[in-house]
Amino acid sequence: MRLSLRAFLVGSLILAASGNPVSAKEKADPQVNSLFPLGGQPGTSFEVRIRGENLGGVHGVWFDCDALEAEVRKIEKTVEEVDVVQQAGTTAKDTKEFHHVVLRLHVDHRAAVGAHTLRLVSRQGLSNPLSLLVNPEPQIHESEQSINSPSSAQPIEFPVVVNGRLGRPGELDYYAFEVAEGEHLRFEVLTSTFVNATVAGDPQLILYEPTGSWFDPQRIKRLEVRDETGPGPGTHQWVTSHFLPRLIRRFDRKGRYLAEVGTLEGQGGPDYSYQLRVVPAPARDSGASHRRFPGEPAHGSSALVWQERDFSRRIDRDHLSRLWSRSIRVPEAGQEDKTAMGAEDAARPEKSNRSPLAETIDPSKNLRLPSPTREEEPNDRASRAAELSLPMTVEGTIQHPGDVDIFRFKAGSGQALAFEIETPETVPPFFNPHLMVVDGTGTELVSNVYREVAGVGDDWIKSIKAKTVYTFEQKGEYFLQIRDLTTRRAAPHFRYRVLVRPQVPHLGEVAVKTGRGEVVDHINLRSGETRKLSVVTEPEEGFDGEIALTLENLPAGVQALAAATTTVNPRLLETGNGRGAMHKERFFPPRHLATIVLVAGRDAPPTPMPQRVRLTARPIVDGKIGKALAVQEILLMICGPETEPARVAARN
Amino acid sequence: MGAVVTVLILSLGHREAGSEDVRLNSGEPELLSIRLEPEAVELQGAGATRRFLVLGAFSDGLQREVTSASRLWIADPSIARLGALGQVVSVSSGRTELRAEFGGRAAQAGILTSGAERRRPFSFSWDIGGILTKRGCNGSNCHGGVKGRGGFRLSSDATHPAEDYQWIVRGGGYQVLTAEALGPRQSRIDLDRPEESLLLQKPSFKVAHGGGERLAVGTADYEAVLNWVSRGAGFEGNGQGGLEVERVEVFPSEAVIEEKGTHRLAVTAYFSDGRQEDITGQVRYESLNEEVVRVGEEGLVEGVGKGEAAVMIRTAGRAAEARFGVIGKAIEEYPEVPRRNFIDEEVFGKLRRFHLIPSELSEDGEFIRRVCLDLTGTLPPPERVREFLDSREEDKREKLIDALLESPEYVDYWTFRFADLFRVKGHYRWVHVYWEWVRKSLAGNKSYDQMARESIAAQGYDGPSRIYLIDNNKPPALERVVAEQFRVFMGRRMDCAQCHNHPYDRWTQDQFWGLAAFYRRVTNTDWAFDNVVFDDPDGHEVNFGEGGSTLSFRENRHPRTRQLVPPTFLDGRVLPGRDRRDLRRELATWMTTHPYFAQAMVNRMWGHFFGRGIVEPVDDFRLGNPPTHPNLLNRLARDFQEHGYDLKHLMRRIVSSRTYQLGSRPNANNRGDRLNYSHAYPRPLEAEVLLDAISTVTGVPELYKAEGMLSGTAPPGTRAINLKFPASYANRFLEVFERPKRDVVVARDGKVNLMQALHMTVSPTYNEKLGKKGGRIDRMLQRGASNREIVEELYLAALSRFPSEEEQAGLESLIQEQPSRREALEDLLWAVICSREFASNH
Repeated sequence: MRLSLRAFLVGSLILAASGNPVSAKEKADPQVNSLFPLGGQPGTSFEVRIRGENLGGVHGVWFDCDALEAEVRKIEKTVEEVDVVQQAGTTAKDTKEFHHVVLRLHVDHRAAVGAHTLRLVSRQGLSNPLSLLVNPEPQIHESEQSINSPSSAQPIEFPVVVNGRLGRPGELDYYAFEVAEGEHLRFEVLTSTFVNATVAGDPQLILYEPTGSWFDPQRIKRLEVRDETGPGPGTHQWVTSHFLPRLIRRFDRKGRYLAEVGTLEGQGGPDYSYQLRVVPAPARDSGASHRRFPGEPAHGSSALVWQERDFSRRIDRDHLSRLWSRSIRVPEAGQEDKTAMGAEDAARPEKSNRSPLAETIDPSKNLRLPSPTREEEPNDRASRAAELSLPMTVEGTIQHPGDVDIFRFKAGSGQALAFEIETPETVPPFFNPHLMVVDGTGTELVSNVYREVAGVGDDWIKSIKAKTVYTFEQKGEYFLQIRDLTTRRAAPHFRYRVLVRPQVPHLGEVAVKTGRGEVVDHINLRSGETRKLSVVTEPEEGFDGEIALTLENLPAGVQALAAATTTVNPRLLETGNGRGAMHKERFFPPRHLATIVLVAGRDAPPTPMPQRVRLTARPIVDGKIGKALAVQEILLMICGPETEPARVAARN
Repeated sequence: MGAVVTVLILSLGHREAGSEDVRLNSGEPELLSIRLEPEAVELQGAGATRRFLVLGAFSDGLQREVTSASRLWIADPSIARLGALGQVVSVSSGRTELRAEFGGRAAQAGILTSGAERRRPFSFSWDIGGILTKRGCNGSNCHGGVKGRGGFRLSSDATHPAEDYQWIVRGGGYQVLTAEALGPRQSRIDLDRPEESLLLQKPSFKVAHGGGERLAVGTADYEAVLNWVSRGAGFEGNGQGGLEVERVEVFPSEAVIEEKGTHRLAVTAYFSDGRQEDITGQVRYESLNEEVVRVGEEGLVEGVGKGEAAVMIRTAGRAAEARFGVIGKAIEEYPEVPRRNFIDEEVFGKLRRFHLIPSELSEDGEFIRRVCLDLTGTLPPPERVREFLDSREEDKREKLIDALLESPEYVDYWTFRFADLFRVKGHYRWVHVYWEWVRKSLAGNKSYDQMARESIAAQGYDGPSRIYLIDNNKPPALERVVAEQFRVFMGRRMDCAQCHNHPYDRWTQDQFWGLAAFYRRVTNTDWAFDNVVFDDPDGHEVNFGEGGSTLSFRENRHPRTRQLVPPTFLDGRVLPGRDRRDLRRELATWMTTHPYFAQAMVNRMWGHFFGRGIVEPVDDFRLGNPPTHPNLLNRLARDFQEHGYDLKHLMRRIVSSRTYQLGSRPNANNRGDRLNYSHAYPRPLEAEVLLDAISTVTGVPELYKAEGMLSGTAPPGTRAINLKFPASYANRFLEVFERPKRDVVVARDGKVNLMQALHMTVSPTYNEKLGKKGGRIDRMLQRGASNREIVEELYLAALSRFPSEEEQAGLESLIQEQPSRREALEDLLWAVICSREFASNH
């Protein structure tokens, strides 16, 4: 993961408001809602218009990538009529002030394809992030002319990315394209701002053939396509939590066709920017494209937060090393690598792992997992199951309806194992891997299905998890079964990778979170201000030591103080939702809360750029302290009127 | 509104024809011949009986039953004898004839008797059950009701004789919610003193009985029950020791009589060993419409008033029905009516038998409007109407049907209709995938059985699986999904049977919970947008009640017996354990290959195209609600099945028939007909179709604004039938005209209410669209159209016909008299869209 981040601050004399006294309104954090266009092609420069609130003092732009640069060209203010939902649920008209920041943006040819993070910088601090999409295809803009009817469709050629906007509710944009016979194309609508603080909606894409109908010669006829529309990869990923409309079609007839872009419920407005991407599709598409999402972050998560329970995380041969790097490994004399042993040997009380001879992990020392074992059909019965020794990584595919893959392994009495699942190509809800361990009688011991009570308080709900843990009571032979949760869904891209390993007591997620449990990615602190940070820690797999926390790289004049507090938000300590949780301990680690107070001295100089503050955690076990781990990076700005809107290039 | 409106309201009512001449019979009809029904019988066993009827064919085309006026005798009385009620009784094995004479005509029927030494064994199920049924003891308003009566419950019409036997012999009070008897068991028979049996004392009124005297002492039925008790009150193991009643038939199953005319019924039971038994006097008769026919205890049917009605015949565990048409005068010369397919054969055949003359073929304007609305929910545009009216092509109707079936408007409309049927509702993202599945299925003309299988057995995240989540994001209660899917796909309502055996039908609680077992495993993951439906062998977790948190799973227990019920098909076949891997797929396969499946859909479609089903309501097939045209129903179902459950084929078959294409103007002979499709019946347009039609005719599209957090606006020009998320778009017009919310299986009754009338007067839909800039009137005025052109255009757009000369002249004159031409034309448009002719499909 590349994280050598670089930010650019580009001042502009256009900023007329920069020297003015800061009003109360301007003290609010800058808020960006949308940008247009959504992105561009490497090696190009173009103008970007960002719409938001409290952007009057914007003087720079921050990117997560040094291949992007921008210059603030202009800031405009508008007062717009908005609908305000009242308490009674009715809507009323009101007016609201918005700012429009115009940037000149350059995408270097080195820029990685994917979603990049962009933030605006002003005296009031750093804005929330926006996603800027970098695509390799040529980019064009939606026509200035109306393209809201089939007859006025904008001609396009592919491959292409069209940057458009659904400027008002109910708007539909039409694009016309010519195809040759047998042409195979993929159409996608990418958005990054359809779901944010101010707007909500899901994009919709439909293909038509302008055939006319008996009723209306102008009528367009909808085409049947392979429709892969669905939730984006990992419904809750940061780029998008809305539908990704994706259509694939082989055109049997040459001719002119239309693509229509709209929203499911007819939403629209100045923040509804989109990209229509039309590219040739491989003639043989396995349908595995749910994972290949052009809007995925180009550089991974900018906050560095550890992900342990995501089906799309990578489980490779270094997985164990990474886990041990978040702990203190205590090998016994003469045994370099206990984790790689057979089950019989590994089955010993956990405490024996914790000798006073604690040392930090050396990832180079025999901690690479064995190569994955590929399933061999038939393996749908216990009698046909291949026997594997622990730790084991198995790879397979749910190829046909009802396919069950079974593997055999041995576990010792009291042996604590972890089961981790990765779905490299297709993620839930499309492929829903169901992992189950049964004993020789077929009795289920553990599965990755978690149950709890939620909703209005009287409904059981279930979810499948990417990781579970279990301690075997009896020494014996067990069977690992993997199938799809349904009895009928199967495909060549229903691939899984399952790791069964001894448990590794380690630090799980450690992050500063808001009261709503969201990871804090930036902080705007004013001179003389203090800010309480709630750090949530998750000790995994029986880690029972302490965790030392420090904030590093603080700006001048800022201190981080450990604090005790009497006001703990219980929500931050909740795992799962409600009553009746079944075996919650197998699916969620316990949570602990630490409090750090950030104090900006009155003389703390404003930072012209956000400074990358690093939260580090060090495990402490039996009095021994482990290696410092960078567990989160937070962008911190010290705000003040004296911030110079000068041209600054800030580097980490 | 001015005079224009008044005149139009008068003229635009549904146009009816004046009386058309039909040659009715004027004098006494002449007897042409007689025949015996049946023409021959084979009687097996001692005492085997069969009732014969004498039927006379008359010159007026009617066949009259004249048994009581005929002379009957047996050629060889040593072989068979004639009973007091005209039934033939086997005496000894051999061959003879029954002969009849009436009005100077003669007829004979062959009689072959065999096994005269073998008596039919007595049967509790048949003999005692039959008596209890005939006497009404086990009727749904007496002991056969849901709770029984006075603590004594019998199965309705002796459908469950084993249970009846227990309640009679072992005694005890019946309880609905448990199989346990209420109070101490006290037998209702007395083996030591049979006459003292409560089973006899109550109905003979020796002991006070709320039902009065039902079984008088000394009658044959009383003696039969007494004999049964006296002989030890046994219960046969299986039927009559392997002898079962295979079927009960009534003759005639369909007949025509005149007002005040009569017709005897002959009811015969057929046993599994080939034995036949006349049971005409041992069954219960019920007229389903006593204003049309009455029926006596011995099966004599009398015509009361013109019309059609069914007579139900009920006996132990069996039922049959006979349909009677009651006519005024017979028609002397029935016209030849062209037929296009088997639909016409069946419909016109019955019309012929019932002396009903179908109306003329619809006019072209009437046809184009009707078929466009029925197949696409869309009014034909004026230019297409002109083109169609002008065309002289002989096959222009067939070509039009083909064009409509291949139009995108067909997909739009049937997506809307099937979204109703499959209840597409819920979270908007789910509606999206569910609606898209419906649309795609119809666009690709997916076979209906495939659609049904995908829906019943749905798993995963795909569209059809959303049916299992539309109620509060979790699988619906077992009883709800069983009842709903059985109703949608099988056309039957089993709802009652979840709590007790169905009081008016054959469905039992056992059958209901046997089907419910197939759905027991349905469950889902997650709470957010990406819920996945799957079958968990453990079943779905159940609510644990206040304060509890114990995990327990949905079980399929019989509510009365508390026993776990395995997946069981309607015929009692338990799904073998080896086949229980995918329960709903097994169920889907069974459902979609069951004869009910095709029947249910063809009947639903028929109801759509004709305004009433062959069984009406379309999803209420049951014993007491027989089809008006059983052969037609069966032939349609067979045709549908043989053509791969192809919905377009079914629709094409129906709309291509002459029956469908008949005019809506009744003639003097068929004006009162509401059952036999002698003419097209006007049907109200669905709310959405009506609103779209108003928008089309006024030229002003409706705007739909979504409410709630995701406030959006449907793209301009969106039609009501194309709203993917109708629940998101509040619309006063659609509410007033009763757009269904899809909370339950949708049934649009099209009843008019006062709000609709008020809405026509004051609502924006009916008023603001009239003169809107850019609308049809405005555009025509802008381009300088004459009044004549505008009137003609409005008629073509709204009614798919030219105005009559009288209408044209009158309207032009009225418009000219008005001070404002624009307002006069707007008034005219208002009157057109408020007219019954516009608001209905006819």
